[in-house]
Amino acid sequence: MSRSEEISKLLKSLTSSSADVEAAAIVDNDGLMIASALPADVEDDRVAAMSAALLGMSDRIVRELGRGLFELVMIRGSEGYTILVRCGPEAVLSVLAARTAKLGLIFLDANRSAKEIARLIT
Amino acid sequence: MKDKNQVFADLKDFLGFGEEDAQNLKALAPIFATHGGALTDRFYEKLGTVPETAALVEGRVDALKKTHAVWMSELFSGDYGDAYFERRWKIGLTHVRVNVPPHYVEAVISFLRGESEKLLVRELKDAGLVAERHASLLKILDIDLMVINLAYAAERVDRLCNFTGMSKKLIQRCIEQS
Ligand code: HEM
Repeated sequence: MSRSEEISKLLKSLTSSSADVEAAAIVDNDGLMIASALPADVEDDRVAAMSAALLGMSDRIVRELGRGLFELVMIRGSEGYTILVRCGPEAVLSVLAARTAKLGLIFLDANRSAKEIARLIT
Repeated sequence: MKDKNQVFADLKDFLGFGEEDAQNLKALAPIFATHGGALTDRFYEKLGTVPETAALVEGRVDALKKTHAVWMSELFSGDYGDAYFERRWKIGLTHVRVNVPPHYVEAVISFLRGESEKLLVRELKDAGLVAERHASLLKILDIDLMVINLAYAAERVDRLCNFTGMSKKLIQRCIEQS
């Protein structure tokens, strides 16, 4: 299996692991989409650039406020969550979760996937 | 972006700026050594009337005029190698640091384009000579401005990258996506 097939497979297994995970994508630090399992109506390239921008800013604020190394950022909207998790030094995993999602489980799954993805891309 | 020195070389090449221009400019050095100060005084007077720029130069007009006189004398030094353009590049960086609105730098250059022609007509008299030397002066003024503006734009992006943690490629992508 090629590297990109392995990454796609990991994303699929993350999105099918629980009904609460609605979609996921992996983006590099420059905002380039590496793999996506996002809804069809989402503009992949825009979301990729936005995710990387948020990652950059989050990374900076964690350092500025002496919170160690950036690990995760969560945004809550009225219809659900967007969670960004670092995948090694080069990329970020973005997970969309339902409003009713059990966050503890989502964090666990997302972190586990992020680690595996980091291993694949670095 | 391309290597800076390559950009300088490309700009000179594009405008056909060469040895002849260097000689023309060198020949103008005495005129500007005598009358350049008056031109500088005039545009600082103007900068002092615009609230935006007046606030920036207030209390240090004399020091800035001296800096400007050095810049002007270098225009006529006859040496336009990488070190020359590095100094121009630094002007752009300094202007970002103190927040100089770039269109006023353009305005100063525009003022110098026009006033220098009047000065050459007065001092050289020979129309052919004025046209030839002024053409070289226009080229170097424009190249200076381009380099200052390039540095200004590059420095702003660098600062944005530093602050936001975003790479230059990402900033470019955000611009394209918006
Ligand atoms: C042809 C246009 C201009 C040229 C060639 C020029 C050139 C320079 C140079 C050579 C320096 C010193 C750079 C350094 O220390 O590295 C400087 C600094 C400065 N310039 Fe300009 N300048 C121009 C237009 C302007 C304008 C329009 C303003 C608006 C007010 C301005 C405000 C300043 C200020 C405030 C500094 C001092 C920065 C500091 O605190 O060190 N300049 N400029």
